[in-house]
Amino acid sequence: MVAQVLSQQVPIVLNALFLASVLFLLGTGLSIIYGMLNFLNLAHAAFLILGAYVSATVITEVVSAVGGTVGGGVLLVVLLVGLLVVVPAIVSVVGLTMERTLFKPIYGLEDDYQLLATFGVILMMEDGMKFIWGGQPVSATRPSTLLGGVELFGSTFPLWTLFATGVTAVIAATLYYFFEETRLGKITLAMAENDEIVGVAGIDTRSVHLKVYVIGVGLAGLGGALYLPNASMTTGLSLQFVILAFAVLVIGGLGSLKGAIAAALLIGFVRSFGTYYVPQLALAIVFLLMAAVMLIKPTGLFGDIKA
Amino acid sequence: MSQDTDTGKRTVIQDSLTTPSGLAAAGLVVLGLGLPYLPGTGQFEVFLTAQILAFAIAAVAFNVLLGYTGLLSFGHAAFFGGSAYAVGLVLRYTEIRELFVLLPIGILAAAVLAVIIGYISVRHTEVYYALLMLALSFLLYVVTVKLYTFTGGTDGVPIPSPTVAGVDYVAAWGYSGFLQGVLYYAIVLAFLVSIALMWVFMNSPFGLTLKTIRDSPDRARAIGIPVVRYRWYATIVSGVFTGVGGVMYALLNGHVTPGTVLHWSRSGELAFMAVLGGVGSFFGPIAGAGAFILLRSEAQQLTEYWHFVMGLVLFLVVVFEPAGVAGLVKRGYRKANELIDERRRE
Amino acid sequence: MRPSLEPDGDVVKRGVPPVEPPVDRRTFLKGAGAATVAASLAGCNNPAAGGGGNNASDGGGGQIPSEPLRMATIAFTSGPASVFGAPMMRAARMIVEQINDNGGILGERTIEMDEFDENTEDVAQQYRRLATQENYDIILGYVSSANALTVGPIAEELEQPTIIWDTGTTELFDNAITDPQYVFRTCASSSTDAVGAALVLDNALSDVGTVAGVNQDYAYGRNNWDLFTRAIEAFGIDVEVVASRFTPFPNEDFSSTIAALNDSAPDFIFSSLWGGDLVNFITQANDRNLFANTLPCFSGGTHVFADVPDQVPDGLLFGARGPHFPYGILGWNSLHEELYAYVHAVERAYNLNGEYPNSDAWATSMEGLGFDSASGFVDIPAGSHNAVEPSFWGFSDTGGQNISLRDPVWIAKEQVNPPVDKTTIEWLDSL
Repeated sequence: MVAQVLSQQVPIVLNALFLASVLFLLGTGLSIIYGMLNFLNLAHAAFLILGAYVSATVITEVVSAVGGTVGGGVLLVVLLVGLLVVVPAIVSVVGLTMERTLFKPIYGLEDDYQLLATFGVILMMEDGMKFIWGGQPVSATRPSTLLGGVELFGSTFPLWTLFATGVTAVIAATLYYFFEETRLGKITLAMAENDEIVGVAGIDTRSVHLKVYVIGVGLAGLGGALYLPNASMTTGLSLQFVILAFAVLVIGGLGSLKGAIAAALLIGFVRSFGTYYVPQLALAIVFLLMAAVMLIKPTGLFGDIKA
Repeated sequence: MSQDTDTGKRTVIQDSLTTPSGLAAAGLVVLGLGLPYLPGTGQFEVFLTAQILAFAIAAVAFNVLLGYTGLLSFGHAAFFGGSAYAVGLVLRYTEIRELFVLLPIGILAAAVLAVIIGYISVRHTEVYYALLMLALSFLLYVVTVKLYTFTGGTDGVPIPSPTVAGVDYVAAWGYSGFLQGVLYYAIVLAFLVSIALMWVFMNSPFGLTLKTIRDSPDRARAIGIPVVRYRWYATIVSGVFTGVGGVMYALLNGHVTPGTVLHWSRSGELAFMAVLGGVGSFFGPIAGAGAFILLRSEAQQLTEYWHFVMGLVLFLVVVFEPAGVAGLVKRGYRKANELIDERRRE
Repeated sequence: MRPSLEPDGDVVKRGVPPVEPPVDRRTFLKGAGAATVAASLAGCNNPAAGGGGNNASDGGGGQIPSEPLRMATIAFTSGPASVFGAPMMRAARMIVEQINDNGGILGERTIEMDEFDENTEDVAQQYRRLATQENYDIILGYVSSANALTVGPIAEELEQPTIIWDTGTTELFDNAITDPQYVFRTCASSSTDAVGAALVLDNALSDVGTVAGVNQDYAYGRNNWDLFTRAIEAFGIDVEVVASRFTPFPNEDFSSTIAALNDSAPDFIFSSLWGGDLVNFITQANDRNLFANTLPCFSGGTHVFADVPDQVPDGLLFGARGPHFPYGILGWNSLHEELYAYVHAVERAYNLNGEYPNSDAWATSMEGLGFDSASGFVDIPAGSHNAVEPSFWGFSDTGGQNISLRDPVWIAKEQVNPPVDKTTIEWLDSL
């Protein structure tokens, strides 16, 4: 009896955690960049898509270059380095270039106009990625197949999703430590309160600004890297991720790390259990949740920034 | 309403008919009315103009919120698509085929949605308003896609041509005759009436109150304006007229799907039109709707990367020309005046 | 243990639908543009042609327009459905080139083809522009059912010859256009896939007791599952439907859906998933061991063989949406049929009437058209605007250089399509 319940519930919980991981990596960047730099980027989700596309290229290139010559273990390590380090780095560089050229002119605009301008940016990024990777679904599951599956309470489960969840948990803990314990973290928090005073205190706010921005974009890129070995990527998916990113932002509260963690978990569990038990309503529930949170606690679960 | 405002309004109208821009507007109206009879005008030009007018109604209505009340909505697809779907579902499930019944039904649907969605959303402002509108309208989209057996899911619903005042013009004149002789004029009429009504609203004390709220909500509150309630009213007015645009689009298009009328990117497009035309100007969004549709049509013919072109244009307009086409025209007009003055001086 | 196919040989037959009479493909293609070969093909093989014996030398004679034929082709070249659209567009280019190299239609009139992306937010406007503004002689295309349903009625209203090339929805001629004049579809409707799968279940899989469905939550998926379950009822197939799942479209996460399927443990899964969704479902289901005891059947998924070969496990049941697979990919075949249907209809009308056909004469000539194509006999029955095709199934075979189908079975076209005078639903209800 217990075994049966476990075999039914455990896969759903693990699915929920994996979903939550991707959502956390997606939503946190959006949230900290908005909360601390006051820049609302509708196009943020496109960095996750970019991360996934770059991962596909990295995986394909690595496999074709060394796949035949080294053993599975070595190949896996090389792939992991590529996904966890190289992909976020490339996405960050792209993000930084865009920051210099496209985003700098719109920092001064009101939130509303930032949304509109970055709506334009997302259209450009989508077509840019289409130009490079084509319009067809891109898929590369080698890292996942190398890791294989694990038998859990009578059902098989892909290790990749567990690995991705673990990586995300470590990152969440690190970020938490960073903002609570380190000097840069404290400065960033102070900047969220008042940019000018921090500047007057002799701190190079622009450099802090860039660091926070790069972390946010890199996390989205990493989200794409962890996502791809499990599922394919197509242009057009970014509009879906845009909505989910904002769901995390709104439910968790603007600029709150705790909020992003909580919101990602909440959405992950709602979607996972919702899809299992009430498949008709799974997607609708997320938006009901989003509207409900905004009505009951407009600042989000953990937000304290005035709505 | 006092005698004075009435007289004042009359003077305004008289004045505006004697100014160059007033004359230009009158000329455009005459041109619009005569369009199907102009030499060289085919069915497509009539269709395209009607489409621009349908979107122009919605874009001006959108700007009632963005330009006049200072609220950005990412949920206007709910009103645009809500009214279009109301018409589609009535056509699907009843024997009603009459334009003069369908139009009020569509408007009513948009009004009900605007009352409910607006009531919830106006508790917040700025980006929260935008996001709440987005969430609620997306809910409507998801539900419409999900209720496949009732709504037809992503296949959408067909919109067969309606009768007008009981006459089946399609049977009598063929579709082309109906489009160019009846539907087009219905849309022109809906456009003129909607624009006139919104213009009156925006230049009434109601409109001035909205502007006061936009410029400073705190000051508005201090002088006793119920800010939240007025924002709600503005959302309803905007939603209702967006619904008029939605009905006209549906009748013209002949088929509606969730993807074309209810998806949040449709809200983004309305915002695009308003910004492109110029949110600071009442008539700007009309130009914006026209520019948007022509631009997109051209871009699609030019390149498969037309999303990029549209995105770039939106970005550049927001960053470099926030006053939109209206701003460009105004500047051009001023430049021209200066040049004329210079010439005179010489 | 997974059930395996044991075809009864009567309804479900082993092997590949015959291409009859055998035509050497190269000869056929070479001659396709030339009037003689094309006319004899259009004539002789046509079950409905009155004066079918005509050959070009005694028919024809009228003026052939000297300006090239203007043809607009529309398909998704971007977005998820580009898995169908992009190869189709390439195929169209190749086939038009072939026809032109042979002189063109009737050996004289070349085709000028322009391409348009279906991924536009304004299908009606685009269609009207092409039909009334740019005056294309023929518009070919449309992958999405919503788009086909949108443009279908407009095409009739504008009297614009239009051929739909890939949309499966039975709604097109069952509801949207009940009395078509100018709109044709040269691929089989979803009936071929869904009813075919049910017949495979009935006549080749006797040990299946439980059935589940995974389909995309949009019209194509709903239409397929609806037809499949109706067919189960219509044929009185003794199986229990234990789960029917509709997933969002597009969807990246099937994990909970797969968990639910694992728990209901069906013997057989019917799925019309395609594109990225299908890839995701197969990958994630494979990771979760779903296919160990369940035989999945993907009605329209053979395109993944070419797109993502390393994601396709061996031994899954695939349908090819008509008899296409043995002779090449779906995109190539459906284009081939569509373009040649147009050309043959023009040539047939010319040869029978002695003058180059206008839209009406072309439409008359399309009805009842039949000809041999690279993937078998194309049959648009008299009185119908929709081609009927046999249903064709096989197991993914990853042994070779490319993935192919092994142990194929097929079902005759009459058994998976409604007769001309009935809609699909009427037909199934009447069984």
